[in-house]
Amino acid sequence: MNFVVITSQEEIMLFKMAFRNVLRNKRRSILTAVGIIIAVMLIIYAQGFITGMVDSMIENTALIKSGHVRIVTPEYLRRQKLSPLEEAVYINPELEEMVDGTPEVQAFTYRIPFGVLLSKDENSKPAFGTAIDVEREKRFLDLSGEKYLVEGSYLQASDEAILIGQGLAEELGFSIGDSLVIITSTAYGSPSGMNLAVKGIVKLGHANLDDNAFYIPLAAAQQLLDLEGRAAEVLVLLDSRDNAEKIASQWQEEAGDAMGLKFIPWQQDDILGFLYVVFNVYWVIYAIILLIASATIINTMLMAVFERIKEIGILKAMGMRGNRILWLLTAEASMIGLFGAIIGAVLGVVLTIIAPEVNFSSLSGQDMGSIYFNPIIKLNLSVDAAIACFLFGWFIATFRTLPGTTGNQSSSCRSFAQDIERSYDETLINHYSRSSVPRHLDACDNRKRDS
Amino acid sequence: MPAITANEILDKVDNNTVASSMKFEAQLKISISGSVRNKEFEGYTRGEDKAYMEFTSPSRDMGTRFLKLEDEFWMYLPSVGKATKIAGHAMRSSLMGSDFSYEDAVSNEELKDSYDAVLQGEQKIGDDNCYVLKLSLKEGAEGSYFTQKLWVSKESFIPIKAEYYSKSGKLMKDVQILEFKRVSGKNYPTRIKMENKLRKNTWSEFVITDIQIGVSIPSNVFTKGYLER
Repeated sequence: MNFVVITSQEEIMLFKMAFRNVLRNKRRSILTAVGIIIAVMLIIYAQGFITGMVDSMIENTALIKSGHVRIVTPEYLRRQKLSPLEEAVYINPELEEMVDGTPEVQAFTYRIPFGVLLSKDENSKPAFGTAIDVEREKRFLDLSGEKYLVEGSYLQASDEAILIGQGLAEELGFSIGDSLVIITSTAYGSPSGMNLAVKGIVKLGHANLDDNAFYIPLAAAQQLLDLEGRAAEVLVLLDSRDNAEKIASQWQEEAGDAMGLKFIPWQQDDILGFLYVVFNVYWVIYAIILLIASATIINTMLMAVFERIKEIGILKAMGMRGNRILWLLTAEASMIGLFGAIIGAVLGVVLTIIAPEVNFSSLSGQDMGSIYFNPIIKLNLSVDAAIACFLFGWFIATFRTLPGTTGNQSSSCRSFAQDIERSYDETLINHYSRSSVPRHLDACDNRKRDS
Repeated sequence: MPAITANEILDKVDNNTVASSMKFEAQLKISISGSVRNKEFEGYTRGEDKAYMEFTSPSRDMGTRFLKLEDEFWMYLPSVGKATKIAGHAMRSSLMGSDFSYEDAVSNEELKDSYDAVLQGEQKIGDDNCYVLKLSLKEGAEGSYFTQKLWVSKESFIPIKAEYYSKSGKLMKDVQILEFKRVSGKNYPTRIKMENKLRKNTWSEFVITDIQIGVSIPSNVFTKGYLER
């Protein structure tokens, strides 16, 4: 193709021509735009859904299990699958001061996860306990509110009482005020037990917790587990989880060696680390959605071009050069793409606002292991993502013309143009003198030169 | 070849280590990563299927009691105030955080009932000349360890060293009998050191400070009522 520089005057002319072409066949333009609108709208909604789902999983898991930063001893970390409570953290003012004095810290709490045999009368069942700092926990996984506490009341720091998962309470027939026995081992392996009163029943919406877990005050657990003044882990919530690696690294440098502690950002947690990888897999899924949307847009636009092969051929036969045709088609596609992408983006945002949640309540209570999936997914759409989706739709619609006019269909156009030319030579030229049709002859000359 | 057979050696070992009834006081030293904790307890056994243990020290463990009654195993914790039945497999779990299991501590069964013995040769361990026996769990028999390798002193017929293996051939525990005492015609082990090879940086010692063999033990000792008294 012989590219000739297009002047600004020609650009204006081609732009006007493109605009007229768009308006000339409204049905075709609207159908093309509708394809783009739907694709962009769905991309925006899907992006909000995926981001919302991943956010929900990470934040839930952070609240329930890992925090944004988890503080443990190196040996506890190394053998954490065995719950080596003898390697628990000593609660000390220096650590609290350092954590509390960091502006990014929103809340922190102490916890001790431990396994027990839980029994009432002749019924007993292995269960999973978590000792919580009842006051600090209110700013963390707040079990005192209606969201989780379905019956009874919250714990006091000095209570020898228990908050029990709803499924576990039902299985063993516990109700508020009942007394139960937990049998476990101290941090040093001696058997240990305690009578506790059921003070509240909680439902977190995760089967593995609601059917197996309970919560007791930290002080009671310290006595039970022979861990006075200690906790298995310190969990920290930050203002943004994006700060976790930076803060953990800062603390590690500042106090890691002196206090003999490891500061672990959520990205290095076994479950959240896995989710972090999954998060990238979601982006692959997202890329596939984009690919499908791109294919839809490209297909729609190509159909619009194929429908116009004869028209393009005539334009070529009339002497319009390839780059001008390309410019014309690109301008048309860009106009339709801009229109479709704007409407699609607006509709996508509106759809996100109208339907901001996707409810998977039927999955509520399903056992998903240590992945704390929230059945109600709140869509998380950022302005940046909406703009990116809009630009993507516009870009794909605009530049799909490049292969279209330089590939096979260009040959079709060229072939059609040659047919026209042949017919032109055989019929029209015979009837008119060359001087009377200089423009047409110019066109033929140009084509011959091009070929 | 030695003039004695594997079964004869095992008979002599059983004769030393198994008692019809026994009353003892003991210490349990538990070393984890260099830190040693001491516990004291007293115990009674009668036959193969009755055993009772009560911890007397430290204060945290005082009053913790265990009762083996045939196939059942019960635990009493003062903080709970009633007996709790422990699942059978728990007998193989750690006794008070030590390298001994509950079964190691209260077992009073003859080895020849559960194991087939093969004499593998002789070896000197320290100053002791020993027979080396390989014991394999008999088909249908129950035992914590699939095979055992014993170094039995020719002089005392005490297995001064033993290795316990799992079915897969993995070394689970290494045992040394460091001292024994002549009681009621038996050479009874009174200081046993055990290393659980499935744990790291740990060892435990079971030291019998006082022992009476063949004594009469009131029947009510081996009851749930006595456990919860």
